Formats: sequence, structure tokens, C-alpha cells
Amino acid sequence: MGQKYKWLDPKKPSPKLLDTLKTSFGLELFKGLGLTIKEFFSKEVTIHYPMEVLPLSPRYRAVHHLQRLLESGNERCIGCGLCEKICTSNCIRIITHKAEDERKYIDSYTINLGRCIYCGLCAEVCPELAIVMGQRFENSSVQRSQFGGKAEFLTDIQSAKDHSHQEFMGFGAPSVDANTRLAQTPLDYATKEEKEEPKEAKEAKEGAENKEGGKDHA
Amino acid sequence: MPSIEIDGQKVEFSEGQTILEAARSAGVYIPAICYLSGCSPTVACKMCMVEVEGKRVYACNTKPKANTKVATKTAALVAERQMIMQTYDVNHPLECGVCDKSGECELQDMTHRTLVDRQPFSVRDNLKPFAFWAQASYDPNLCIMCERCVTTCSDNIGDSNLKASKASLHAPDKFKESMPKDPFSVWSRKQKGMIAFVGDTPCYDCGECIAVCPVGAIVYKDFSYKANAWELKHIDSTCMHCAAGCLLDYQVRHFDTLGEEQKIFRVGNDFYHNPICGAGRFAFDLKASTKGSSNIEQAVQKLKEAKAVYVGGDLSNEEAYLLEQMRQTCGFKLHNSKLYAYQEFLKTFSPTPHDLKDLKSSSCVLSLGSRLKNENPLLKYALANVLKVNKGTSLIYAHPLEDMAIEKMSRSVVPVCHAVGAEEIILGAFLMALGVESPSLESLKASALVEPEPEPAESAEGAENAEGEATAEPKKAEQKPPVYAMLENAKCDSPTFEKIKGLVEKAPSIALLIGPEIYTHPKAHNIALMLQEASKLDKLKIFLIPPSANALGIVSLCTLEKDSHASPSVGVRTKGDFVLDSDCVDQNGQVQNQVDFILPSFSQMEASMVNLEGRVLALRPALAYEGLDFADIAQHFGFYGETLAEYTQELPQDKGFLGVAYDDLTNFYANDKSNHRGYKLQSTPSQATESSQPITPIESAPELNAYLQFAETQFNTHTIKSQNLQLKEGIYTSKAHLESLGLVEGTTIRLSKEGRTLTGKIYIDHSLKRGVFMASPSLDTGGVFASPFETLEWERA
Repeated sequence: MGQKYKWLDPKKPSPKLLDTLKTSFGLELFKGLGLTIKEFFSKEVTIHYPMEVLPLSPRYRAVHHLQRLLESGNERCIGCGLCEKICTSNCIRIITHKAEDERKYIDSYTINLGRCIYCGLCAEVCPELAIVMGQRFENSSVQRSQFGGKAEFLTDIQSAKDHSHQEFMGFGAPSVDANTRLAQTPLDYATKEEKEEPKEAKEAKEGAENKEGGKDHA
Repeated sequence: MPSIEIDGQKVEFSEGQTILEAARSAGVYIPAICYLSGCSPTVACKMCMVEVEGKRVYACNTKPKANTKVATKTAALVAERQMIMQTYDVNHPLECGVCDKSGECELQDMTHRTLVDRQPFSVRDNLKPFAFWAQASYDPNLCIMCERCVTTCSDNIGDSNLKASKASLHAPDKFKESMPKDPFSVWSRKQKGMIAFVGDTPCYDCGECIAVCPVGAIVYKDFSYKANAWELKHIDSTCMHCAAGCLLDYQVRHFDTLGEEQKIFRVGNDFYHNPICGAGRFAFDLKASTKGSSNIEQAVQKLKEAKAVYVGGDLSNEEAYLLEQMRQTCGFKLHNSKLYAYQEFLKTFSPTPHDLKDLKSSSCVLSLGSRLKNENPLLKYALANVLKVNKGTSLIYAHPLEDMAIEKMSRSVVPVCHAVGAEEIILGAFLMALGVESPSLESLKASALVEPEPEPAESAEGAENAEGEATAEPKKAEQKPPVYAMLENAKCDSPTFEKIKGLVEKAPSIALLIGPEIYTHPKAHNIALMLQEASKLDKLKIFLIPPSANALGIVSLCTLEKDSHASPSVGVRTKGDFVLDSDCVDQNGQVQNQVDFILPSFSQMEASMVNLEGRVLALRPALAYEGLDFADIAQHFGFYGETLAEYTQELPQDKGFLGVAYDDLTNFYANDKSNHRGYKLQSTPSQATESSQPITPIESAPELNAYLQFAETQFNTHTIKSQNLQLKEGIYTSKAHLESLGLVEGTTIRLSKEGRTLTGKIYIDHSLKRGVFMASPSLDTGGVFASPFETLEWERA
């Protein structure tokens, strides 16, 4: 059948040209600038790394710690070697010896942090909570020897003695701000009525991201 | 000795050494990455640049001039070396954390040494695909194109399977102005090339390219991500697979927290001095059960009752010594047919074992009665090295079967594919070419066809036919060389003989390799007498290749007798009614070798062996063995040694041992290439009183179609059962033959003769040319092969 043609009126200017003129001389430019100026004076959403760092979840898995016993400050590791056996990337090496008191002592404990995939299996398998995942995620160094020696991983003895020792919360641990970050829980329906007013007020204070999350759940 | 001055230090050098070698021998450090000792210089890294009297040269390829001053650390040299390392570091993947080489990487070391702390150069990177060959995995992104793998494959191994190939990579010449000449040439070489596998045939199990790689570019595929280099403990030991007795470096790491249970992760070698074959490098996966056996009373009882004790070819010196002592008290007989033949041969002719460096300094090498590549890879490597590095060296390789791998090593290899059983005649031809006076040659000379006179030109100068027209003869003979009927029958035609003669006559020093097939030859006694007569020649060095790993040690310690098939019998590291051997547990804990009493495998024992150079070398344990061993059995026979190593110094001094304790046996090569491994057995050359008989012609040369020989890198039970080796026990044949038979690799076939059969899987051996079945001796339990060469029937099984 016949083809359909579009009639271009040579007397009228083309719509493309009109568009160009409109964006060049219209108010669109100032709309864009307005947004920039608005953001310039609005609240910051980025942080100044490395002067500032984001709070990490207690479940965060970075460079390991070898923990000490509180009070005595003795090493918790009993040299069972389970971490070495379970390691999927073969990066842990532990060498021990049995002393005269029939106790195992650790001669050398190394983790090749270059190969470690931070899966956390070593911490999970540890029967003494001796090796735990820490929060140090910055690993740059100019010395090969600074990667993965025992002295690196052992926690400060003073912190064990004065109980300021940071314990690993564990794999199921909720993050510190879990309550504030959770928009809705399965039990929300029960508490919804009594908490309606304060909850809405809270939500308003939250950033845009949380609001969207809430909507999605709803 | 002439000397030069390197950085103010006086360094002596000898003829033929380069500046770098002289410096290394004297312990003066000149950095170098691409250098491999004993190979032709590559001059790829240019790190070894020095200034001789103010002039820039490369230390690795420059011969020193006496009394010159060499500077290695001028400001310009230091700066350029640093720049070379910077160019090597351009786009080198920052994966040291995961790299297998990290911790022993020469790029890391040299980058630190030259104090590289910034990177002024940058260039777009290319995607470079991985490549794989044999047991190696090649990552071109990590490669710095030092070409050490190429050099060693060509100059040490003789295969020339690797090549630096041009790759179409992004390589702008924008640094031409900003870089000095040497760093720029290093940079562009690295930027424009990759290593490629260029062999016509696949390569198997050698891994020398893996050993020499200074970075993590070529790695052993099974070692990847299994351990870190710095965790491995190095244990130097000796390989017990063949008579070469190579220096092995077991790299072990503990397997439990107390460090008692060790596991071998890989085996290294001192690649500067001693290339090793695949058996040494990869057949480390088997060991004896750590706990051993408890039935020691039974083993003792069996030994006391035994009439015959079969000894394996890889028995250690200490075990052989104890067995011999037991033989004297218990009265059993010791048997091993191959070693017995070797011992009988040595009674007639036993030369002082020469060092491998004597072989490397020869300008013509004759080989007879050995498929070198399979029987003694180290000798093949030494020959490849001498053929590649010393131009003008020739190899005359006489064997009934062609070996393409030997032939392609160099153009100066003369293959002599002689008739089966004609070894005596070929040796006669060699002796005639050498101009040896021997009664054995009379019959050979008498078989000359062309000239009616019995005057066979200059080859028989000494023969007692000086009368007549001797003065006029030589000219005529030169025009038309004589044709010897006997040689023609042995398939060594006149042009070949003339070629051999030409090569032998102009060579100032000659080496003659005598292989294990000679000792079991029907004419072995006469051959030994002929060799005795030839050994009087000063320029000739005769090497006897021992038929098994510790053959030389066993035959010097034990009195062997001809097999009488008496029963009951005991087999020590071989077959018998009651077997004492390693039970070969693989890495999955599966027992691969059923034995009656477990002995430690040679990576688990403290003992010694004697290699083909006549060196007494130490075996050091890499893995634990807690069970009972031969020393415990010997305690029941009145010997009080707790361990085998206690007997090392008691090895009899009248047999040439020096009474050196096990712990005093050293095991290393020094920087000046000197050999500090063990000590040399003092042997007294025998003096035969009889003279050789004339060579007998062969009646009819049977057409062979089967040959009894292991595949390359297969030597014994250990290597056959090893899962790591790529080449397996089986029947090997050429590719063309396999296709003509309509078979595919892996098909089981049956070879038979007179009702006796042998079955095995068929594989391709690319070095074979003819339609020949090369069957592993371990398959031949039925005794199909009466001699190494047979004519057999075949059928599908």
C-alpha cells in the first residue's frame, strides 16, 4: 500500500531549531544553575575520607585480630590449627610447639593478607574466639614484612588488662544503629497504632534513602 | 693466572670465562637477571652492564682482557639499572599479594636493590592471554621477557620448544628520547614480545622453564595458591630415579600445627648447574606409609629362609651393604639380571667414572647402546648443552631406533640407525675411526669390498700390512673410500662411516657413552675387551651408563650371581615371593604398591647412593618415616646400627668408599661451577689380561617391531604409580604408525610371542619414527621380551 510521509512546512522553522533556541535563551540554564546552588548550600552527603571514615558494621570483616584473655592478657589461641585447615585460600600458617608444661605455644602465626579473601571462616571456626575479624581495612604499606605477622594481629595487652578490649560481636550481631536503620519490622503491625505519631516524625528526619526504602516495603 | 680488577678488587680468571663468570667465581656481585650459567648469553636484561676501562660492555658476553679495570657501580650504571627496573615495573600487575612467586621473586628483589621508588613511565596496557604447556601455566602479564625459559629449553634441555615471539601489542616509541639506549632496548623488548610454545610436538613433564622463571610468569599449575614461597622449607637431596643422581630441592611445608607432618609441595633444582627431568621434579607425590610395618619377625624369618634375594636397582648403598653382610652369614644368593650383567662387564673393563664436565668439554661424542633421553635425561641435557654452546661439537648417536628428540637438538647430530645386535660391529667402526689397534678389528677390515688389496687406507695405519705398495695406496683410497661388507650388513653404510671418521679424526677430545643395552648384549665380554683396548687412547673418555639408579653402588658393594630361580625368594625393592619395598601411598592416602614389609621411600630416608660420575651422594629425608626400616631388620642379624645413616661411614674402604660420615656429605654446587656434592668413589681401573676376539658378523638382522623401554621420565615403580607425571606406563608408538593401525591413544592392545602376552594402553611417542611398539618394562610380567628388541604379534585386547 501507500507509504506515509511527513509533511515539513518550509515556512515554519524546524522543531529542533526551536528547541536549541529555547534551551539557549530560555530559563532552563538558570534552572540547572539553581539546582547546583541549592545543593551547594544543602547538607553534605559525602564524607572527607581519609580524615573521616564511615562507621562500620560490627559484622564487617577486615584484618584479623588475635585476641587476648581479659585480666591476664594471655593469648587466647590454643594452637589447634583449625583456622589453617579451613582457610579456603591457603593463606594462614601456624607453627606451634609443645612445651614442657604440655601446653602448645605458638611460634609463628602468619596470614598472607594479599591472598586472604576475608571470608571469615577462620574466625567462625575458632573454638576460643581467639581469631576474630577486625575493622582495619586500610592495608597499604611499603614493607612486605608488615603484611600478616603475628605481632600485627595481636591486640594490645593493656586493653585486655583494663577491660577496654574490643570484643567481636559475632556474625549474627546487629549493627549499632540497627534500630534507627530498620524502617519496618515484622512486628510493626502490632506497635503501629501506638507509635504512629513518633514514627512519622522520625521518618521525616531521616534521609531520602530511608524514606524510599520504607515506601518500597509498604 | 691472568687477572682483572673489578671495583678495585683483584679477580683472577681462566681461559674462556666471561667477566660475569669470573666475578661470580670470585664472589663479586654483578646483578643479572637473564643470565643462566653454562648457556649462551641472551643479553635481554642488560643489568650486567659494566665499564671496562671506561667503555660500556655486558659482563655476560664479554671475555676479560688481562690487567684491565672493570667498574660495576658508576653513577651512570646505577642510574640505568634503576631505569631498567622501572621499565620492568611498568604495568607489572600489582598482585604480589597473591602471586606464587612473591617472596622469592627476582623482580621484587631487584626492584628493591636498585631502590626504585617512583614510576616515571606509563603506557596503555594490552590484554595478554594465558598460555599452557605441559605442567606449566604462563601468564604473559607478569612476564619480563628475560627469556631464561627460552634459553634453558634450547641450551639445557635441547627441545627448543619455547620462543620469544613478536606480539601485536601497543608499544609506542615515545620513550626513545627520554630513555638511555639500554633501558630503551630492554623496554621495547619487554613491550613487544611474549613467550610462545612453538614445538611441533607437545612437551611433557620437564618443568625446567618453571624452575628458571625469575617472576611468577611461568608457574607449576598444581602449586598455584597452595602455599607461600616463604613458608617452604628447602631440603637438598638426591634423585634416585636414574643413575644421574641429580640434586633435588624438596620444598616442604608442615601439614599439622606441630610441624611434625610434612608435605612436599614442589621440587626445585639448582637450575644454574643441574637441570632435572620431569621424574625428579614431579614424581614426588608417593611415599611409604609413615607408620611402616610391624611384621619385622616375619621379614627376618623370610630373609633367613630365603635361597634367593632379588635386589632392586634403586637400593641405597647402606641397604646393599647390609644385604651383602647378611648374604655372607645366611648364605642366600643375590640376584638382579641387569646389575649382574653390569658387574660382569665391569670385571673386564671398569674405567674411572668421569665427571659430566669432561663430557661437556669433548668435541665429539659417540653414543652406543642407549636410548639416552629415556635412560638418562641428564646426559641428554648435557649433550644438548654442549652441542648448542660449543659450536663444532658433534654427536654420533648409534641405536637401532631413531630418536627424533635427539636428532632435532642440533644439526651436528649424526644418527646411526644400525641393525639389531650390531653393537659390536658399530663399536668396531668407532674404534677403526679412532685408529685404535685392536685384534678385534681384523675381521672388520678384512671385509673391505672395493679395494682388492687388504689395505683399508688411513684407518688402518697401525695394522701389520705395511709391505707392498703401501706408499702409493693412500691417494687412491682417498678418492674412493673402502666399503666394508660387515658395516653394510649392520646398516652403517660407507658414507656414514666416512662421516664418522671425518668427525672423529678432527676432534681433539672424544667421549664414548656406553649404554645399558651393551651389558646384556651376547657379545658383552668382547665389547668390554675392545673398550679396554680403546681406553689406552688419551683423547678418548669412556662413560659407562649404569643400568639403574644406584647400579654403581650396588655392584661395588654386593656380590651378585646369575639368577637360578631358586625358591623361596625375597625381593628387596623389587619383585619376589616376599617383598620389602615402599608401599607408594599417594596424596589421597591410597596404597599403590602392595608389599609385605614396608621400607621408606627415598624421600624419607637417610642414606646414600652412587651416581654415574662415581659420586657418593646423600639422600636426605623430606618426609617423616617412623616405621621400621632395613637397619632394624639388620639388628636381627647382629648389626647394631640404629639407623641406616650410621652405616654410611662403614661402607667398605677397599671398595673405594672413603669412610665419610653421613652428616659430612655436602650437597651443593658453588658459584664457580665446582661440584661439592658428596665425594668421589675411589675406583681402581681393571686390567684385562686377554685381548679381544675378532668381531663376528651378524647372521641375519631380524626386523624389529617392539622395543622394551620406559617412556621418558619413567624409571621404576615410583614413577609409574605417580599421579603427577603426564606420561604413563604403556605401549608407545609413532603417530603415523598409530594411525596406520587404525588405533587411537588409550586403546588397550596385546603384544604376544609364542603364547606369552603383554597388554597395555597405547600412546604416542613423538620421538619415534618407525612402526615400533615401545613397551614399558613394568608391563612385561610374562617375559615376552627375551632381549630389548623383539618381533611381536599385536592385536586389540
